[in-house]
Amino acid sequence: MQTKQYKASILVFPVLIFMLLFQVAAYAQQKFTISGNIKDKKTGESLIGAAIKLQELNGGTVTNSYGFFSLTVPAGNYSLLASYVGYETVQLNITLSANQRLNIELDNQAKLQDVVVSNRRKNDNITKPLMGVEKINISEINQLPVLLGERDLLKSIQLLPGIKSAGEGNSGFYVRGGGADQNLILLDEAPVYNAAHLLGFFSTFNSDAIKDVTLYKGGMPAQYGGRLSSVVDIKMKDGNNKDYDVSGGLGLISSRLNIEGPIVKDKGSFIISGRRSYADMFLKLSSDSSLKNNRIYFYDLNLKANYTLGKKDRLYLSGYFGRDVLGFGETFSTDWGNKTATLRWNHIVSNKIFSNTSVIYSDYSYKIKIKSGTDKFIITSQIQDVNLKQDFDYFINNNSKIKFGGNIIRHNVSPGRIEAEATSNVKSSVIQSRYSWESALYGSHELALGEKTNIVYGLRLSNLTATGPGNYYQYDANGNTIDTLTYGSGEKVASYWNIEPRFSASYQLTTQKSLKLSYNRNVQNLHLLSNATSSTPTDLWLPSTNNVQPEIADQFALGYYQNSANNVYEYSVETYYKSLQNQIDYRNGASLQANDNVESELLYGKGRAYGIEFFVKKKTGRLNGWIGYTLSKTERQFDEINNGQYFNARQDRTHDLSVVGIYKLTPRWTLSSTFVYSTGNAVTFPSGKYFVNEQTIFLYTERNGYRMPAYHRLDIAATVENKKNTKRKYQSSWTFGLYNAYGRENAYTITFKDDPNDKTKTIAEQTALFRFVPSITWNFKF
Amino acid sequence: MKKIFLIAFITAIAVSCTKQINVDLKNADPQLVIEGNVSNSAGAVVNISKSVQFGSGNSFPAVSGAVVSITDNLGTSYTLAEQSPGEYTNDDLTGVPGRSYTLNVAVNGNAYTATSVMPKQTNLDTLLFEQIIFGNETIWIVKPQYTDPAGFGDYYKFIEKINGVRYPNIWVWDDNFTNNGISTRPLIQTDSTIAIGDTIEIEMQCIDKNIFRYFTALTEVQSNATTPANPDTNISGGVLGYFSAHTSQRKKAIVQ
Repeated sequence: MQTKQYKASILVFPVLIFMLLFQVAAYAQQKFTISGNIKDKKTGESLIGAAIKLQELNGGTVTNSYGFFSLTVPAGNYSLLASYVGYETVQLNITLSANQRLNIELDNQAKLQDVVVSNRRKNDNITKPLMGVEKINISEINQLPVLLGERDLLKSIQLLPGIKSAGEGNSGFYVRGGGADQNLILLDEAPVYNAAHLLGFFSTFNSDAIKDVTLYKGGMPAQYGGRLSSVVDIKMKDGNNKDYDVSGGLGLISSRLNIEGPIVKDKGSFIISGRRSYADMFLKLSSDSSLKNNRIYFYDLNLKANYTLGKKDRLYLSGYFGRDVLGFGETFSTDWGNKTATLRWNHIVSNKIFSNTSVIYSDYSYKIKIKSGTDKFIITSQIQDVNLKQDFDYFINNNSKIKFGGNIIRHNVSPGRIEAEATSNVKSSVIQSRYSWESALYGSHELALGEKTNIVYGLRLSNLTATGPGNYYQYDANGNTIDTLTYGSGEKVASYWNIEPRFSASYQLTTQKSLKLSYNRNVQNLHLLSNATSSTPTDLWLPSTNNVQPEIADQFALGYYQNSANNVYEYSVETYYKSLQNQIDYRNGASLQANDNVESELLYGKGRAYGIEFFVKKKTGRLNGWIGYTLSKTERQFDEINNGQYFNARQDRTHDLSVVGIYKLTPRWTLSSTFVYSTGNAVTFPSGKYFVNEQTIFLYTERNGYRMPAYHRLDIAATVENKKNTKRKYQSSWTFGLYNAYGRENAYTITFKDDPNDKTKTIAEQTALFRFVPSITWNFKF
Repeated sequence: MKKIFLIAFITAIAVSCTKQINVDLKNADPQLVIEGNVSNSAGAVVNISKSVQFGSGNSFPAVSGAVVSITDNLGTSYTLAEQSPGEYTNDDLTGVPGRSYTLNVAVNGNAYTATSVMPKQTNLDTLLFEQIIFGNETIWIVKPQYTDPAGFGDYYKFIEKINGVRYPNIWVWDDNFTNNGISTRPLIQTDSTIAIGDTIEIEMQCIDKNIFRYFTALTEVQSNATTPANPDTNISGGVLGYFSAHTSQRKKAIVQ
């Protein structure tokens, strides 16, 4: 079956080659190239996705992730417009008779009348072939009401159609029916394996340090791979290279401090951004001595520096360190967190070719310390990646752009190591590590076919090779070991090649209306083993092995887009169908931790997801915001579960609605509000009970045959800024918020048990978490 | 583990609220439940009952009139007589570690069968007590001490009685953490009510792998797992429950 799918994909190759040749042939007239960077005038921060347009011509281009652009057009006189949302548009008259370098600085108008809701060029959403792409502005995130006033970009993303929250107050999310582990979350290109603090209640991203967030939920560009559902590409700020800035905030949960400034003016800059929670400081105030000894906190630190070497080269070094700590006195303590580091080298090969080389390190680990009497032991687990990556942007002309490159990642997964002191009854032991190489080559071509049609087509060729040293096992259908294979260091255990075609196209019906379609295949070679609903510190990632096959998803999407009132309103409808292969579930009574035979606990099945997403957005004006509604279905099928019948995935929520409004009341006051409604998760409840082991045991007849009650919630916030005074650098603002403003008791869990007051009966009990949670945050900048 | 984290977080911000609700549950047809035990100390007992609807009281109809027998791998067969409604026993059947036992049940024209191997007995040496600080409380925990034999694949089940009253939860362990050495792994109970002067009785059973998996799944179901399912029974024929041949050893001690 698989070879058949490959055949279809291979057909794309000749088409690609033909189109490349066609490009070269069409290339005859005398043309010149304008290239350069677009930056913020005040901070020198490079602007991602800023638009460059020559008024005399159709088309134009946008800056890449490093603020670089290149445009090749016939010689002549042009009027060039450079624009970026929230910035003053710059117009330049140029005479093009030779290749030209042009660095443009745009002034942030900061006109607060226009609280602009995302988007780049005004009708990009109509003309660009990409679909299923969501961008969210950091300034916008900062205005939305959020639990305990803790700004959170992963929670704000959940307000967009097709993206669903993993649960109450949770930063985990599901995209178009995929699992929470099927999202690739990149921070400056480094994957963040566990993007959550405190069981998912807060995300690991401190929005002070973040410049740009883009989420791809379909039509994924070929440069991304490794996860099935989505990519959240988060870019850290470079830091102000003109002047020193200090900003920060005090909130109920945490405090933040951000320092940025030039290393050498206009050449290099740095940014240091830190955050620490202090719930534990309240515990210390407690008179209860045992409570006093408990610890619960998290911190994170974002660091970045960059330096421009001459006209063609720029170096960036960025890092992230975050950790959660939780402890009960001396008995039990645990800490977990991510570390990432990215070293990048931007090089302008020619005025048309931009190169980026990255070395990326990513690490997630947890440690559990237990001390009880003479028993002292530490359990640790870690996943570590080193990634070497090369990307090229080739700007052929204003109608055609190629991206190509590749990468190779070394994964080193250490599932569990127990270090025990000699006095302990627990023995020191090690669950063997798993090693693998994950590599990919990709190419994609963005092309305008005439004035109305734009396409992007590409291919990603990916491989995962699992290697020794270690013992690998073969299991029978019941999970019993039938053979043990021993591999030496570097010896190949299993290797999987996959071809991932990516295609999207747009057809402009009018300047304000377009149709788009896309198809993409994604492959995932790292699998999260967790039977919990929310992210837990003990999450275990396992690369594909001789037993675990790569997960594969194929997605088809079709959309209609329309703007009106001079692009103030944006409407879209997208529909998708996704099929999933080699999905993972667990046997009954599976033990996933400290288990050398964890692969024997896995079951493999398939899935399907489909839905339709409606989106209306008002982008500018005193009142702006959006309404998103998704109607969808998500199912899974495993031979061993539910008698082999398709069942609703946990995240299958038929209806999902979000309403977001931001209203500029006065120049100093901004009000905001969000409302969400969704069908309850599919869950498994008992359909009877019986008696075994001198206990009442509940009887289950089907997987996820019930629904949690519908979830809905209204949040409100108000932000007041100090009086505007352009001469003064110091600025501050207060944000007051109320989470769950009408106090809906949303069921977090529903549990079944014997009635504690009458053991002859059983009862159902609902736990709700957050009702009427107020918050106050103070932010400053000088 | 996950629960511990959750409890910690919720206590830290103190905002949860719990109430009893009505859930409209489906009513599964009554299903047959067989619970069979052979031990090396107490003879054989097989209980046969039926499941009821969630909304009914906790009384489960006994199934009478079944033909129940257990045969060991040497071919000796023992018939279990109905002692009281739904309870079938044979006091002469004392299990021997290393032997396999096959249960046969015939009821209402259907036949059910299961096999379990009684593992070798690991001796329960002594009971230790310790006070630990857990969350906001100082609690007593019990630590059974035994020497796990060489090689992985030893499985244990512990049942506790406090002053003669059975503690509802049980503990089932493999030897992944304790292989080949002295174990004093604690029987952690977060809602412990053990106090000085209490008499604690611990029954330690050495169980086979199927039974280990059955009870692991059962404890997960009882702790409201995210995707609960009926534990996989080792009895064929379409029935709930299990058949376990296990060793059994009890020790009593007073907390002081």
